[in-house]
Amino acid sequence: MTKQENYFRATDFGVPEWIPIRVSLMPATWAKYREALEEIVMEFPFIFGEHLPGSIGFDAFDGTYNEGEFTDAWGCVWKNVAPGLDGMVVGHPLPNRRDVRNFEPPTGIVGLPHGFMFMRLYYLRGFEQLMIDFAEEPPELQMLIDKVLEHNLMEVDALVKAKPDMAVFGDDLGNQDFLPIHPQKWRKYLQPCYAQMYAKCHAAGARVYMHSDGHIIEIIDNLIEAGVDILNPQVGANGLDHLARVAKGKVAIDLDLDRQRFPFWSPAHIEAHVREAVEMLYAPEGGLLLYAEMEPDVPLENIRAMCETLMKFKDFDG
Amino acid sequence: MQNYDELRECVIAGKKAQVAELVRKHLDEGKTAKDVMDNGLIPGMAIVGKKFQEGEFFIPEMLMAARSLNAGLEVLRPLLEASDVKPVAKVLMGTVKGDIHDIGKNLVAVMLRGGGFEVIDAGVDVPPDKFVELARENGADLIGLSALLTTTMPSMKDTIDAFQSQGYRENVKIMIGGAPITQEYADEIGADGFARNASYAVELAKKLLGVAA
Ligand code: B12
Repeated sequence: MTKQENYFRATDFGVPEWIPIRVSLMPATWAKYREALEEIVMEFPFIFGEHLPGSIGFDAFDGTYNEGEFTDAWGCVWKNVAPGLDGMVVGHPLPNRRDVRNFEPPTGIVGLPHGFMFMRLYYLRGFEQLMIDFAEEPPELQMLIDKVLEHNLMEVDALVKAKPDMAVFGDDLGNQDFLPIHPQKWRKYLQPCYAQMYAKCHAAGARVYMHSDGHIIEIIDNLIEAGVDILNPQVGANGLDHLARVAKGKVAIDLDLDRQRFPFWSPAHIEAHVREAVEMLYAPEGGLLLYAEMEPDVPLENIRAMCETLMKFKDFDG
Repeated sequence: MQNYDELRECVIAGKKAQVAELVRKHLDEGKTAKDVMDNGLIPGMAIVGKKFQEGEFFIPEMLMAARSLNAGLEVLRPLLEASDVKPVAKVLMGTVKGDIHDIGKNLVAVMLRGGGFEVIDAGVDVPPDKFVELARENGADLIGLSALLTTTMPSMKDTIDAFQSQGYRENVKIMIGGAPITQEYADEIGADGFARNASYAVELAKKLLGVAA
């Protein structure tokens, strides 16, 4: 069975042969560890594929990972202070409500970057302005949402033309231990947006993969209703027990292992963490995938320990 | 004589115009500005903090309440200044070097203002020396450090060390917070306190400065 076949068996609850595993290394992590990281990558071809030494430009970051300011297609001004990590929006094109009325989203296809819907709203308005909008619910709030959604629907049409097996989305909906807005308001204003976008994916035969940072327990049911097939939630912000309760068996979980702890743990802790996750979320029919993202403060030995542990637990069978 | 129930309710419900109006009314009735602030506005905001802790209020409700409180304080400010009433204390808040997450830091600032503190916002990606410089310049009593990334937690330690090495550590209390922060970490790096959210941050600030809650 190929890795891809197995991957979709896991996402589709179709009895995979192993638990799909994935480790991602931030550009800043490469820049810090360089050849030493390359060694680890070459030790685990199952995880990283065949890697040719010297094939990574350690300091050659893609566009927005570079230090500095740039403006995106929506007119949002980004600033990055830490090369190799993401930046943030410091210039919001719609600081006043009346700006929303005349606002025109990009007319062409510009892609659906991380933060395509909810985050896009606050990138455009500014976080506090948007929160006040959610409190007061002026007509401009719905107007803004409609404009962003209309553009996004066009993006989805373009995306599914190529008939992908899976469409990948990312939007951070939660904070560390609560949702920014009341779940009822989320259901009223945001759920329909995701539902419309994801319906188009399904109509084109694509599975929907969605990443969200933060605590989202209260809305996981709604994300499933909206059409999410594979969810990528953070362990730390949600809690394994809660995830098992609301998501296990209902949606495939590509578990974002607790990267907020990786820098501080010993290899033994890492193994205990993965074991606990697998024991709570594994089912022979599938629905569990494991993901670990490594920021530059994770010690090399923990990166290696994570790879070893994932290699061991991918064959877990209860 | 009217009590402050209605004023408090209006703060909690985020009714900006009514808050300003009621504050004026209480002043007209002969209440002092300090009394209106201490017994009307601030207790209203304290209830908002509770509701936030308990998961009844979310960020929009909290910001609306803060705005209404500010509308009340605007009315009181000239009177407070004239009668030489000082803010509870001065807090310098910032996100540490390398980190740009500012939503949590801003919410803490909002709630501290709602608790009667004066807050100086140092912004994001603030180097250790800058914190010390701003603390001196503004005569801050309390420093609030925010970090949302494990990668920038060491900047908190660097900042505390900078206060130490520049001989200013004794002049300030230092509290820390942000998603990955724990009490354990605060103890480890010699911070004076840690709080999990904006509402607890106000309680912590009061405790650290010995201000009655
Ligand atoms: C929104 C967000 C962003 C936005 C920030 C927008 C902004 N203007 O702030 C953007 C998209 C820019 C961003 C960027 C990044 N982010 Co980010 N982000 C988040 C997210 C989803 C929510 C944070 C937030 O705003 N919460 C809302 C506020 C209200 O909560 P809070 O900040 O925790 O604050 C409360 C308390 O902590 C406390 N508090 C906060 N500060 C203080 C200070 C004091 C003194 C006290 C007492 C209390 C206190 O009170 C606050 C209010 O109650 C979190 C997820 C999470 N689990 O938290 C990830 C998260 C923090 N980000 C993460 C990452 C990895 C990044 C990036 C590195 C991404 C990348 N791939 O490059 C970049 C880093 C950029 C940089 N150099 O800083 C990771 C960090 C992991 C780690 N190793 O620690 C998280 C945890 C997500 C994850 N999947 O793990 N992010």
